[in-house]
Amino acid sequence: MSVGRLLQITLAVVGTLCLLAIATIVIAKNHRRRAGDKSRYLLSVYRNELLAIASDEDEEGEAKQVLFAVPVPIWERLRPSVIAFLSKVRGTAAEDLSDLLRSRGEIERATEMLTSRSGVVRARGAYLLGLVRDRNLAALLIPLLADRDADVRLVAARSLGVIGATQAADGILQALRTSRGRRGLPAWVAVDALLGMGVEIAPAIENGLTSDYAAVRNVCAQVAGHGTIFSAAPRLSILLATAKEGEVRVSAARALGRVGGANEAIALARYTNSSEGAELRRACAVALGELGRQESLDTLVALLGDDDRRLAQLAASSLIQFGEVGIAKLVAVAVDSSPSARAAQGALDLAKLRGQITTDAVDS
Amino acid sequence: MFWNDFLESFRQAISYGLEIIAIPVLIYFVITNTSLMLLIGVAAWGFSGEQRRKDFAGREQTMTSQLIQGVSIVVPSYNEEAVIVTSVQAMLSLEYPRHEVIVVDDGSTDGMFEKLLEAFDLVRVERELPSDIPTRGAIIDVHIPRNGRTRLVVVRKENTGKTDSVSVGINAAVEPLVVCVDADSILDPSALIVVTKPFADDPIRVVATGGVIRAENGCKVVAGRIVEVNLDKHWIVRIQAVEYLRAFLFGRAGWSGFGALILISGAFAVFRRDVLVEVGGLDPDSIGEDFEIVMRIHRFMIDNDRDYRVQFVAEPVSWTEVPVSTKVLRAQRKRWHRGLWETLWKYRGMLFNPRYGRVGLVALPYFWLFELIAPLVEIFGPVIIILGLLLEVTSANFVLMFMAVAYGYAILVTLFALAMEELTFHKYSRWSELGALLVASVLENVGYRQVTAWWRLEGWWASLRGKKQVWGTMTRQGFDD
Amino acid sequence: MKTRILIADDDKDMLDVLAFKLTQAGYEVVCVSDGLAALELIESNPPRLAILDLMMSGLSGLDVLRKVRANEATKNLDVILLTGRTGDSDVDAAFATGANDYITKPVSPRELLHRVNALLARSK
Repeated sequence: MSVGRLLQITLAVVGTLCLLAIATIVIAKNHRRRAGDKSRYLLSVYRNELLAIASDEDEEGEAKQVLFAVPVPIWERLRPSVIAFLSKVRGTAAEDLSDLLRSRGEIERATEMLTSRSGVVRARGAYLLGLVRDRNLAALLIPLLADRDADVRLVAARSLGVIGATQAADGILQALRTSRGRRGLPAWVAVDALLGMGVEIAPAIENGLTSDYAAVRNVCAQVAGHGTIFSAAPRLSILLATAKEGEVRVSAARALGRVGGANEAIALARYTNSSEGAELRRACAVALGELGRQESLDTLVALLGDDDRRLAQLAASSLIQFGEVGIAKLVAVAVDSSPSARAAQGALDLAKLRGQITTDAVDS
Repeated sequence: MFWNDFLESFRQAISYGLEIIAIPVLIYFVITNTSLMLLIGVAAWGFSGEQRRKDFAGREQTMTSQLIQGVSIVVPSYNEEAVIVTSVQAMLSLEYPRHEVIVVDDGSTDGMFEKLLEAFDLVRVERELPSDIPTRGAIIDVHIPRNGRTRLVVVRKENTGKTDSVSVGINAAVEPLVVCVDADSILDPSALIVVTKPFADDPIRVVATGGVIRAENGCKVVAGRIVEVNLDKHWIVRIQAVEYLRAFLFGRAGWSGFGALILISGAFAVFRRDVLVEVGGLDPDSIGEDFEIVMRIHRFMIDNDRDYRVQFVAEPVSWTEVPVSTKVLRAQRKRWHRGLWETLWKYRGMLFNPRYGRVGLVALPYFWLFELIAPLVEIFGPVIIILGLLLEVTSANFVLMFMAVAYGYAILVTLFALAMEELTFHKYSRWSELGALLVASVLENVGYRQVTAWWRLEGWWASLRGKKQVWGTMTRQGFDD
Repeated sequence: MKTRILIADDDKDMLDVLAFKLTQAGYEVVCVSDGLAALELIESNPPRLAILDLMMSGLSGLDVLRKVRANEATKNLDVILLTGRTGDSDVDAAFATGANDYITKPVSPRELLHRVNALLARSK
């Protein structure tokens, strides 16, 4: 092929693609502008009814009656707006919107969507079922936790969390695993969903603390802490002592700060030892402050002089959390210019600024 | 007679050389532009996925999550009295459940500290900073607001430069995530939540993320926030806006999607604090700071068999003023290319090393070939081709072919990036601005590219010269801006 | 004369619902969809109460609140912040910046009306 020919082809291809790109820009811009106008117009006819229900002004149920009776093509165009409103309100308004959707057979429709071939459709179906917050629908959503589409798994987990379906806890933990090219569920989705389920899931969480999968253990530790599952304390202790991953041990320490007892306080004190990593030591010092057990006082005081100055600060602020007895210890230490004294003084200064202690208590 | 013979042999020698070089040069440009297209394609694929997921896994939902890790914003500052108070106020009111702002005053000689003292009612506190990262400058004092609750910390230290100040800031940071921001950067209110989402999605593996910076020039700024995005009127800024779109937004997103992101724009990168400490903090002898630290993290993680991820978040979150004068632009490009060279050289052991996976086998070779020596080809490529034409070695068609492939194709790539921008973030909303960007895409190839290529070579040359002057060791030379 | 209330939220649905509710209750409602417009309106033609969404791009609700409290002329405006967050630190931050009240999303329209009435009654 001659260079001249090649040149012609190149120019033609590049030129056409350039025009295509420019056309895309122009069309996209136009489309966006018009789309905004279009939906507002469609809504305006039934706007009042829709807003009345969504803002909890439909006490007589008149608006619901009107929308219940609109012909199907009009309902199809109103449906996205009804769903959008449902995601933004709660209380009676949300209940009314849910009732409206139910009365128009949307639950059945969403249920059918769950078996669609398209991942996007399945996800939308799961999303709607979650919005409606019907416990009876949980059973439909649980299988979706193992769906082949990552988005569907995500929406299913969130919906189950919103519904508060305790029987889904195990499924959600399973979904954290990455396997066979399927990305694991994002950790925050799992934690949020599980926290929405209350203490009934304690057995599933305690079980998850002994999982072989790091992300599962990490999530369970977080849930145990934030959800104050006291019965998880012994297993959290084990994680604290034996987990391979630093992050998991830190999560366990943090959780123990919330749910630990006397034994756990001893364990936490042990891991403030200088042979441990800095992050773990610091997490343990903070947890001891949250537990507030008298036995931990001496450990914390000893840490005031540690080489890790951040650890010293955290120990000092933990002592403040103990109240009078901790503050007294700090005052006793803050007498010279040693590193311990400096850390103690720093915490006392801060507490004074915050009004947590009066100057009298310190100066006496 | 002699002269004609000489010319003839010269011509033959040149034509022989040109025949060998001309086609590779052509192919070089084809590969460069095609690879950019691919990267942009990968990025666009990622975006469309993100758009679809917005209803289910959008921002609002992440913000209420308990798993959010706190962020420490480190602001190394030198003589920033004009902007510091507004800037700090804007940073303190970023939307995020838990963050702090650490201003590191690098021995300023203006009234910056006094302004902070007054605006935030600062009092001195007894606080020793841990020395997790070794630093050089001595700490003078630490101040916090009198109410003891506003999460601002002002650390004053001796003047030892920006890198050392950042290290001090990292030491002072108490939250698990750290981001370093210039005092005059402008951040969107949702910047932190956007750029830390990967950490929430995967707290065990993600170690660093980077966000997108856009050009602030011409935009309307109120209370430290961008309230109106406008394209600046200077053509030099418009061309840079186009550059940023193409390279920073889509180039980076593409590499990230491919799993080999080695360059995070330093102006908005978030790191896990413990990882920064593990790798030893920033290298004070390196000019290519952001690039260097990311490479160090890659090497460290792979050497230690750690499962990790460096992720790019393709949403504009931060704005910075790009150079308007050629003098400042020149200094910037010289510095960037010098930093690129020094870091690539420092990590040459990773090049083509299968141990380092995609980073060593794909990203690094790409950067050596298509970023480092690019300016050489940019300048000498056309010279060779035109010379060939003059000496009748190559045809006029070939020259046109070259221009179509090198510049025409480049314009296409840019238009492609603009189209992607329009489909995703559409920050430039006026027709006139889109038109200006289109023109800028063309203008970029008619002089801007070539001149900036020359400046990049200058930076590279300066670095090489610097090295040669010192026997054996590689020390940082002051640079002559 | 009807009491004027300003609502600022970049979500049009939210604006519509809240405006409807408050209008039905007898208030005069002004809607804007970004922080800058809200600030300008507050400074030029102050309403009796402002409901500001926290998460808006450009100027957020918190930014607007900050500016309003810092300005002598507008610092006593009643402000309710709307937000999706529920953490203690967020509530602290909102009140520390000077919000009079704080409502979480999803919003209960009935609750919002109660809070608006209560705030207006308190500060009469």
